[in-house]
Amino acid sequence: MKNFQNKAKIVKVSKIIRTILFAGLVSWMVLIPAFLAGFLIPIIALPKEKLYSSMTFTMGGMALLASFGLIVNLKLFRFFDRLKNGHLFDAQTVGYLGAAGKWWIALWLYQGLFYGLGQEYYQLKMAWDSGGLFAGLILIFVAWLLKEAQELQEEQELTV
Amino acid sequence: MNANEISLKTKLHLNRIRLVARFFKWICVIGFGATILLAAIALIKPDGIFPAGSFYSGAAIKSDFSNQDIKPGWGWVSPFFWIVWTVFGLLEIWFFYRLFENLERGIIFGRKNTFYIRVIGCWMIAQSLGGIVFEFSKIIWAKSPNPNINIDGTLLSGIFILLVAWIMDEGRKIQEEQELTV
Repeated sequence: MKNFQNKAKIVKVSKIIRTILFAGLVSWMVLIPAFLAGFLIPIIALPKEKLYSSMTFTMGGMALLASFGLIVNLKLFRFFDRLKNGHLFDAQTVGYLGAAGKWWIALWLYQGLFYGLGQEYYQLKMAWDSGGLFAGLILIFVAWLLKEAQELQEEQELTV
Repeated sequence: MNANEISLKTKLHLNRIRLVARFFKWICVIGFGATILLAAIALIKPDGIFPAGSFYSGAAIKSDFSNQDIKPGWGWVSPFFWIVWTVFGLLEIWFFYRLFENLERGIIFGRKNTFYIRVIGCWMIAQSLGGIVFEFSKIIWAKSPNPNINIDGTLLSGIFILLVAWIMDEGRKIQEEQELTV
């Protein structure tokens, strides 16, 4: 009975988080074309002397940043989607969580590069913190723990 | 892959978890020290480290607020919040420390681990809600209250950690079942 209760709770909360992540996916999908438009339209439409290089840099960088954000969001969305469907310990579920962690770390590294260049060449004020790195590491670590459970479950199924 | 290879792979995997758990355990120790140090400096010299004595806790809650914006007679509010947040932060770090200590020992799906993860999740949710209470309390003690209410990453992280606790509990049940079968 308790086992059933736990699973029901996981499915319910996953459903809520999945909905939030879906909203995130939609917003990334709106933001990426907007940043791309902000990057490309001035290049195409404006004469070279009227082009602000800092604006172009920011828009291009933000488009790439949003793309990284979209990938992290998508991986997490897929992870919670599988949880919602009751697939707790299988390779795909664990894989999505691990991938989300790795992409989050990639996003953090890119953020560092983007903010650093922005500060160095265009005096843009953007704060880079360690939150992304820790979030990514924790996700990868949780994925490892889930992998252990997955192996236990596989072993158990073989034994039975 | 034969049984020996599988066993070796599992052992390597477990060693990796232990190693990273040790790393996180030391991060907790550093976090513990840093939180105490920051709180001590903030209590002794409020404007010493952060501009205009803004409230800050190493754990999570942040709010840019100057000591000069506090109504006369409410001076105790600043140290009070610092102490509350420091205690909150330290307890959270303590639970994290105990969890990583267990993981370092190779205890992955222990009953206590599930408990620690659940407490951390609830703690983070409470911390986030505490932040909202703090912002509302500005109406009482601030000269020009401007509550800044937003749902931050702490609340979502807390919910995620709670979810992990339930998943780990499932893992524990599988492990117990496995031990009984063997």
